Amino acid sequence: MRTERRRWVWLAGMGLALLGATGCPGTLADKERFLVDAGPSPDGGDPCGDVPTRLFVPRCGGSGCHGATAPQQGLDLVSPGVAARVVGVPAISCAATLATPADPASSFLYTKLAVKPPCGAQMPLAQAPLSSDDVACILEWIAAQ
Amino acid sequence: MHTASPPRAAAAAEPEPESLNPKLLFSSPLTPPDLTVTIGDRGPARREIARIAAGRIEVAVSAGIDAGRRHFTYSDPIGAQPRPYLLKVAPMMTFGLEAYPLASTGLPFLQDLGFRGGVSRAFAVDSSTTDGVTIQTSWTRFGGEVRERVLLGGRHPVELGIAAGVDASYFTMTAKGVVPALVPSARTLALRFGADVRLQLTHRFSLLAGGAYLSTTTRGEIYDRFRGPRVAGVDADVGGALALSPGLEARLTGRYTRYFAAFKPEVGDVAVAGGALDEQIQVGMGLRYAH
Repeated sequence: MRTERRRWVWLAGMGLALLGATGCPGTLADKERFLVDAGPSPDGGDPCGDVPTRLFVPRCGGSGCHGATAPQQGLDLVSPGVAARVVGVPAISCAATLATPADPASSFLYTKLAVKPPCGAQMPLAQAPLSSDDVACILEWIAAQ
Repeated sequence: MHTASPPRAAAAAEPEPESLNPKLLFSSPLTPPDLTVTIGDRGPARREIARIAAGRIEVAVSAGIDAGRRHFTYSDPIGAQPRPYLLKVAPMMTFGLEAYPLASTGLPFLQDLGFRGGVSRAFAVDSSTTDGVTIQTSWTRFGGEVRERVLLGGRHPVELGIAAGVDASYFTMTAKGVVPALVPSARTLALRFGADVRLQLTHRFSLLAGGAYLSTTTRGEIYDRFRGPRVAGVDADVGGALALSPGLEARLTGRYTRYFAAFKPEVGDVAVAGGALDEQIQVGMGLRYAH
């Protein structure tokens, strides 16, 4: 009886120790890859970097915003091919065109970033406004389409 | 309470089998200290006496008040979306049920096969962001499992258990506005495979411990925001039980549950992180009555 008892207790202890030794979350094997692609060019050649990746995804694609799933106003700024969804496309909620490369300053995508936009509230909603440099990058990106 | 028809003289004429001598069997808080009853030579009453003497409970109910805590963090988060979340403490109510329907049959294996379940629910857990956005929050934990126990006698009796069942943690968060971060709402359902032990240190006090592996079948919303999520979990329980009277005990228990996730993000994903860790702690006290 005593030997059996020790065996059971030993097994239980080993099982608990095994459980304690597991359970770590995953890590990024190549974190730099995401940081470089999400930010301005490291060589300083293009301070704006890839605007959709660097600005639209983190600043506009949050939960309940303009993400790929059920985006607000039907505007998905996250999925690949953003330009095709905004250039020459009328906005749903306001009488404006989302992006007009020939006149980027009139683009709704740009005017919505102002403190007092011509229609609705300033974007990003409930977040800190974009910096003037980032706004300039968006303007430049619209003009380049 | 425990009666039998034959008079004492008849019982004395036929010596009581050793297996029914309470002194030689598992001594648990369930066992009255003065188990001086006359028993029949066969029948349900005899088996019932044997069950009680062995500390082999048939049914137990429990209730308690707990404090719950949840800490959700990411490993290698990129950008502003993956942010940590901390619920410092939330009051919870807990109820439990444990039953061994065949405990009195004397059938090997089956007499120690039972089921148990429990539910905990937090209240007053709503929170708000620094931007003033209210987040309605609810937290319910529940589970049920089949359990086989092994009773080992001796100076410090031990009850071992192995169990398999389901375990769930429903932590739902609903924002009444735009929240500039991922909200760690997760209704996680898992298959639970565990083992536990109860070590009786003194006539009145026992130590409790256990652990389990959680194989998730439903991950939860937060994990589906990431590409290629893999989620699993472990839990560990510790506690103490103090017998107050036969069948009734006060318990102080704690449970630590740890869900760990790994993601496979790609450049351009909205949400990027290497993984996430969801730690849930529940500590409380309550009463348990066992028959």
